[in-house]
Amino acid sequence: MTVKTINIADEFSKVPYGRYPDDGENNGERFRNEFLVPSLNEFEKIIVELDGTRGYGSSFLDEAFGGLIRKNIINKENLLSKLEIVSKFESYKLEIESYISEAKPEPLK
Amino acid sequence: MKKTNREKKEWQKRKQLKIINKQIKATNKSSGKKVITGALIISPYMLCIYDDHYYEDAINFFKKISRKILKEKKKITIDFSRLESVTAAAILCLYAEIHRCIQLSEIDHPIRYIKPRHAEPRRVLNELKFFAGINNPSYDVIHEGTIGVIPCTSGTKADNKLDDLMNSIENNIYGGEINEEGDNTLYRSLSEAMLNVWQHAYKSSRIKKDEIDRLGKRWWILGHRIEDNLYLAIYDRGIGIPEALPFKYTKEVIDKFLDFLKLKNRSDANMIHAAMEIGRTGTGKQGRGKGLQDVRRFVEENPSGVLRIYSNRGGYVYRMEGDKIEHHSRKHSLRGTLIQWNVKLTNNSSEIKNDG
Repeated sequence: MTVKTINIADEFSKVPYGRYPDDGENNGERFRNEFLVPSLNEFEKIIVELDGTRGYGSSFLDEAFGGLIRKNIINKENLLSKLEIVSKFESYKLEIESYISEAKPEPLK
Repeated sequence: MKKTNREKKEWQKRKQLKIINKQIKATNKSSGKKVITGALIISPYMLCIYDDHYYEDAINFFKKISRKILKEKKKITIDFSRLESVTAAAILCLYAEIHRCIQLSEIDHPIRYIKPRHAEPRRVLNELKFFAGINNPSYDVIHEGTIGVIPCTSGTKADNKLDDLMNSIENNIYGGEINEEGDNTLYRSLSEAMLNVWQHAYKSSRIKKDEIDRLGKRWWILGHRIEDNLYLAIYDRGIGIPEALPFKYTKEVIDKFLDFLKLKNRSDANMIHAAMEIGRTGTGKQGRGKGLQDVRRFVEENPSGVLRIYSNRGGYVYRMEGDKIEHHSRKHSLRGTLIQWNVKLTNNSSEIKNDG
């Protein structure tokens, strides 16, 4: 099995912030498009390490992870089986799972 | 109607003040000294926006400042000499009002100050770099604070400021010893409050384009540690939560939440309360965060935490102890939104002395 580990603090930013590019450089959409999407396409499993940053707001997490479903990148079942969230704070894992579960694919244009 | 003791006290103070003002004017006239520049605006003796009574005095004071400078285009002198007591939230609103007036004014150096005569407000204003901050043209710089203080500062986009602010809070308030969980929740609350300002606060034609062009979608912030309590506040001059909510959610969704909370009308306080709950329970609307719920997180993890949100004419106060919510309805609008977190600091950090 091919596995990719992404450490957000080391590879993306220590201050992840906001939902869209207009909110700031280290936004959830950019993390999704530049880190999660290529890894999901290339690897069978991805491990996302959350610790080491200043923290996360719900906007960032929802856009990064829930956005994968809304933007029809992958379906929920596949995503939940391929994605592993690693953090010393259990609440982040539950929160991300809830964003994925609550997200609905947007109609294709 | 019979006057209460407080009203009597205030009436007496006002009377004394009128006499003092007459004396000052007479002295200046006779000596030819130009002590006061332009119109004289006298601060209330109590600068506070928590208490309904003092709130109106504070708002009138702020309004006088902007009216004189921006409408009447006059220079002013603000006389703080009788100021006896100040609170962090009111200082922040005043700082923002003055900053805004200076930036939007067509007059150079429109404001002069007479500093407080009483030691306590003078010390607090100095510690918060109130006068230094206003006189410094680079408002976006985070001034180096002393222990226990995050000086008045402001900014627009959050991401280039957040790390510096968090470092400043960690060092000045927590003595470098904030635990990781506390750091995470503070970051979550603060960053989502700033994001709300950026995404929603200035989203209306009611805010003049010229003002946004010159000031940006601006927030102002300060923090103060008093003994073992942290008071951290952020303020914006946007349209306010009650007015912003209908931009985010339909009338049906808002009404559903007002009904659910048994809130009978769309008063500003009720709208803030509804906004908090919409964030908490979700609406099925895609791509909407739980921004205001995130804002509450920092106090929820503190047994005696208090979150205060004042927006336009409404106030919402949430106390962790007993899970209590208070509403406030005011006659005059705050003209924007103030969010204040009040938490008791943990044992580690409480060892730092507030002696800066």
